[in-house]
Amino acid sequence: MLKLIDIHKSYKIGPTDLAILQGVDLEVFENDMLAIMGTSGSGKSTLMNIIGLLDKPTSGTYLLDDKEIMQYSDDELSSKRNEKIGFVFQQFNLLSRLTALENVCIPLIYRDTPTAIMHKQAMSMLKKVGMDDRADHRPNELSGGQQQRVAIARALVGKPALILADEPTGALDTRVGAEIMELFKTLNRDEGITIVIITHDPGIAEQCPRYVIMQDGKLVEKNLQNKGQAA
Amino acid sequence: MIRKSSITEAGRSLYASKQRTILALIGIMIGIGSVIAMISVGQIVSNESLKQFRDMGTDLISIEKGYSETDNSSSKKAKFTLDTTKTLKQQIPAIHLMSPVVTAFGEFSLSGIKGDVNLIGITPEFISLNKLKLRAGRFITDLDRNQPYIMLGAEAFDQANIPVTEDMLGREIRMNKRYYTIVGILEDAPKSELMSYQTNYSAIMHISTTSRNFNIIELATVMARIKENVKPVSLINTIQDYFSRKQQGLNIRVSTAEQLLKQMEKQMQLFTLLLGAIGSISLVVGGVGVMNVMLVSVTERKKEIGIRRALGAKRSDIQNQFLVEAMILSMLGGAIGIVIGIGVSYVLSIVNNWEYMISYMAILLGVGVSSSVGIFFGYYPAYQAARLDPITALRSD
Repeated sequence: MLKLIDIHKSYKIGPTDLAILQGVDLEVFENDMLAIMGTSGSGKSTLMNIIGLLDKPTSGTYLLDDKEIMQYSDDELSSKRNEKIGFVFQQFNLLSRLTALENVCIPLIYRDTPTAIMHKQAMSMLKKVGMDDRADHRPNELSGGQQQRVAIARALVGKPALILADEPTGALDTRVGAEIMELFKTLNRDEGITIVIITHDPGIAEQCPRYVIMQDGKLVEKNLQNKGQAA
Repeated sequence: MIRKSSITEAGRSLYASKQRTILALIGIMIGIGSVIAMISVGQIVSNESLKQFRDMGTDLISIEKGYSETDNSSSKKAKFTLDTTKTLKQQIPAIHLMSPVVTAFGEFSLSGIKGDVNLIGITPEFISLNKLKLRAGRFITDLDRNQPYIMLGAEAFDQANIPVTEDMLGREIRMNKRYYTIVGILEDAPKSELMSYQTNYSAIMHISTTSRNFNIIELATVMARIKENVKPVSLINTIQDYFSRKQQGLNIRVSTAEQLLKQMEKQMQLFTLLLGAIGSISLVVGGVGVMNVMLVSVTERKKEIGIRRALGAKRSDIQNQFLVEAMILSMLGGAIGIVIGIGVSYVLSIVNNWEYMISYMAILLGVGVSSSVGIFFGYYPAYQAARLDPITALRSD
C-alpha cells in the first residue's frame, strides 16, 4: 500500500547540499506494524515527514495506494494527509482550547462531515481507546497517557490507511508507554490497522513485528523479522 | 469556503485571548464610532442649515440692485425704486407674491431706554411671503400707509438687550424725533440666507412711512415667490429685462433659493466628507490594531497551524480561519462602534439643540466599512498563517 523507491532528500544550506536521505527503499504492507528506528540525526524525522506527506522528496518514487505523489499540489497533499494518514505525535499535539471530543473531530471538519455524524464517529473512536468517559475534558485535565489515547483516537477517526506515530511513548513513563504500545498492538491485531512507529528506542522497535534501522540517511537491516511477530 | 466550525472556532480563540481581543475591539470601536459620529453630525448639521429652505420654500427669489461693470452715467443714475416694481406681477405672471423692502437704521427710546434698532419698510404681502405669525396685536396693512405704526420682530431690541414683551403693545417709541405706536408683536420668523434683512431683529412699518420719515429712495430688496410649476432659474433673464425696460441702465441681480440650496448642499456634502475623512483616520488606526492582534495570534498559534495542516487542513482552510477571526473582531467592534457613534451624535445634537436624525447611510457605511476593515487588515496575517510550512509550524512552540 505504500512504497518508497530510492528516496533522496537534501537541503540547501548555503552553497552546499546537505543530503539527509540517500536512497531509501521501503515498503509498508497492509496490516503492517513497522518500526523505523534511528538515532537523532539519522534522518528518521525527514523520512517520517515524507511518508506523512508533509514534505516531498528531492528525488525518488513514492507510491501511496499505487499512486505517485510527486506531482501532487499542496492542496492535494493536504487532502491525502486527511484521508490516508493518521498522525500520532510525541507531544500529543492536542489543541488545548478544545475538548477531547472536539480534538478528535478535527480531521472530519476538513472533510465537511455533518456535525452529528462527526460527533458520533469521534465518540466511537474515543470508546475504542477507552476515553469515552473523558470526552468533555480538555487536554490539561488529562494525564499524558490519556492525552495520547485521545490523539490516537484522532488519528483513527478518519479511517486512514496508516497510522504514523512519531515517538508515541517518548513523553510518557515506561508503564504508560507500555499501555500505549499495547493499544497499538491491539489495534493492529484486532482491527487490521497499519501502523508505522518512528522511534529511537530499541525496546519499542523490538515490540513491532517488523522493524528497520535508519543510519546516515539509509535504511539498514531491512525487513528484520522479529521473533515476537504476530499475525 | 467558510465553515460554520471556523466561526465558532474563531469566537473561541478570541475569547481565549480576552485582553488582546478587547484592546483590538476598543480600537475598531473608536474607529467605526468616530466615522459614524462624524458623518451623522455632518448630516445633522447640514440638515439643520438646510432647514430654512424647508421652512421658507425653494420658490423664493430675491431681486436686488446689482453693480454694473460699465461705469456709465445711466447706470449710475438708475434707481431701484418702489415705482419700478409696480407692474412686475402683472407683466410676469409666474410671480404670485412680491414684497418690496426698504431698510433703515434708527436710534430709539422707549420708556427712557435708548438703543439702536433695524428698521424695515414693507407692503402687506411681506407678511404672507415671510410666513409671519402674530404673537400679539395686529399686522401692518395698507391702511398704515404713511402712518406711525410699527410692529416688532421677536427680538427687535436685541441690540439694546431688551426683550420684546407683550406689554409693549400700544406703547409709543421714539425714533428720529418722531413717535410710533407699537401695534403688533411677531413670533419668531423663519430665516433665509436669501434675505438681506432680519425680520426678527427689526421694527417693521409700512414702506411709505419708512421712505418718507427716513428719506429712503431705493429698495433694499424685492422678495418674490414663484408659481409652483415654474423653474425659478428660468425667470432670471425675464426679471432682469423687465427692470432694464423700466429704468434704463438698472442692473438687477436675481438670486433663487434653489441655486443657494444647491450651493449649500454641495458645501455640506464636502463638510460631511471632511468629517468622515477625519473619522477614517482613527478607523485606520483601529484596523492596524486588528492586524497587530492577528499577527500575534498567528505567531502564537504556529503549532496549532502545524497540527491542523498535518490533520488535513488546506492552506485556504487556515487562511479562512484567521480571516473569519479578524472579521468577527472588526464586525463586533463595528457593531459596538455604530451604537457609540449614534449615541455620540445624539448627545451632540441634544447639547447643540439640533434636530436629531439617525443616519442610515452612516450605519450602512459602518457595517460595510467594518467588514472591509476585517478583510483588509485580516488578510495579511491570514496569508502569513496559510503560507507557513507545516513541518516548521509543527516544530515550533
